[in-house]
Amino acid sequence: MDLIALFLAGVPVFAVLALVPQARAGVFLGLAAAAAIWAAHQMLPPVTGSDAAGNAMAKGFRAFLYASAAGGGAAACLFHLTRIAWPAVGSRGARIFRFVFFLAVSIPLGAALLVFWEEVLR
Amino acid sequence: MQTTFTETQLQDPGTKRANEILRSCVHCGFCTATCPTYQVLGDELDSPRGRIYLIKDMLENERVPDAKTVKHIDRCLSCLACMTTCPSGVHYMHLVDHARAYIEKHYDRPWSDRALRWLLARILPYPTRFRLALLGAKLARPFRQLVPDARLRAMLDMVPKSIPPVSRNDDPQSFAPAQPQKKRVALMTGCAQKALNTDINDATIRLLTRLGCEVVVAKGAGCCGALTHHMGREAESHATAARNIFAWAAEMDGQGLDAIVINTSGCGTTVKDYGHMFRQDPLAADAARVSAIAMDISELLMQLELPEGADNGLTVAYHAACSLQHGQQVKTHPKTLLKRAGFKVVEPADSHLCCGSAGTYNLMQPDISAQLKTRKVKTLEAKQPDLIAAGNIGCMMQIGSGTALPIVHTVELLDWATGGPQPPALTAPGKQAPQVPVLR
Repeated sequence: MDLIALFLAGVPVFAVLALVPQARAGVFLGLAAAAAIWAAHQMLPPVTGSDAAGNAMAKGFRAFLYASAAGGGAAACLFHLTRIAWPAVGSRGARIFRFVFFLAVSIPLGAALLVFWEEVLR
Repeated sequence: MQTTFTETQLQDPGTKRANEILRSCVHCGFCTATCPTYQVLGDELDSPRGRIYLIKDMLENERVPDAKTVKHIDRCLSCLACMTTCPSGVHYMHLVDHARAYIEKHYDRPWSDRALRWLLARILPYPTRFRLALLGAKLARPFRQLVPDARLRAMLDMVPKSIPPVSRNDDPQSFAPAQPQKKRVALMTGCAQKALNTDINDATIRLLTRLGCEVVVAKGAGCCGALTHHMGREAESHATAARNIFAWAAEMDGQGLDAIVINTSGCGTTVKDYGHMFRQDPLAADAARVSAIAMDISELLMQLELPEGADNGLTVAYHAACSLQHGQQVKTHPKTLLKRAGFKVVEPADSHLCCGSAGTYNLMQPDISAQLKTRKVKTLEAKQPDLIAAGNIGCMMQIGSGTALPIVHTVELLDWATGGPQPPALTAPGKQAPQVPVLR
């Protein structure tokens, strides 16, 4: 169960932020949420301290929970961007499809952000 | 062995090298006696001699490899036991590596094979991706019966029960020696090992700094390239290897290095072969410099003054990783060090045989690998040890998945015996912890 929670932390974040009625506000809030959660993730203390050359284990799996949640914010940002880019999506079915699509994207997006952070930016 | 390559064919450096190797084989067949796959399958084509014939035929005739040839070459563990046995000095490693690269270029594998190999090459050498994949695999494990492919099921089975958090000791930095400096060494922190077991690098750093080494984790160094190299994916393996060469050459040109230390013997074999891998490359000189100072952790520890320890009453079954005993010909150092530290060392009856791990072999050939694992675990347990020690993370994962005995890296025991913490694997749930504490 705890593992499932690690992967799905972005879903509630996305679900809440996707409800923002104004697309531009949604983009801003999604980005802000992602950045804030990511910053909080960076400030997490190491799990077991940092003795020289031993067991300076980084941030445990809480780090991944935060990354997943940040992925939800980023997915919400992308969702609202598509609302700006294609405002004329009219049918209810198309709008539901868009919502479900980005809901699904919010699950692996946190993992993708983490990989990008570790392999490219660090 | 007589060969009939044309002059044009011999213009290719890979073929030229293959020709030299093929001509050194005298078909004696001694290699069959120590080939694990021949022992399991009993087919001549699953022995080094049989594979050499297949490779010769494929290369000489420049033919597109057929499924039969690929099957038998894929079944090779690259354990290199044949090279230890061979009285003629046939360099089977370079030959099979060349054959694999040739197959990768010319053979159209079934889509499931291609997908699996692509996936492994894209995930295993990258610790963050590998860690995420391990988490995902843990979620998928309850549904393993629904997975149609035996290789995917094997992957799910190999996922460890606990996955350690990231260790920032693996990040680029320098660790100061705890006593007057004797050596400055670069530690290769590896790739898969960083996701599977962070205790090994931590123990290595503690031990080396305690013995007077400055330990550098060079910026830019990562995967050695072995995993993709053994799949025949030359471009990918050379790209990752080149990053290591750049990183270590920069350290050598900067403050200097006395050694590049490797605690995963599979990687050690590859790094020591960089000189050959890059012989036709502008990086050849730097690659040769790197290879020249690359050494297994046990080789370095033999040069340092490891304190003598009193008999601590613990019996350690030492599993010699193929890459260490055959690939690097390091046979006695780990046992000598363990004995010096106060452990009683025993060896299994089939110590020369592979445990079936062999990089990605246990994922790609799960049936043969499982048979080799069962055999190895049986012979190790027959010695009734308190714990098992090995010098390669792949062997540790493979054997650890088949026994209740704790399995640790040799360096973790040496660290423990000289003042470090007890290896966490000795107190892991589900493992039979040794009853006698180590005396320091």
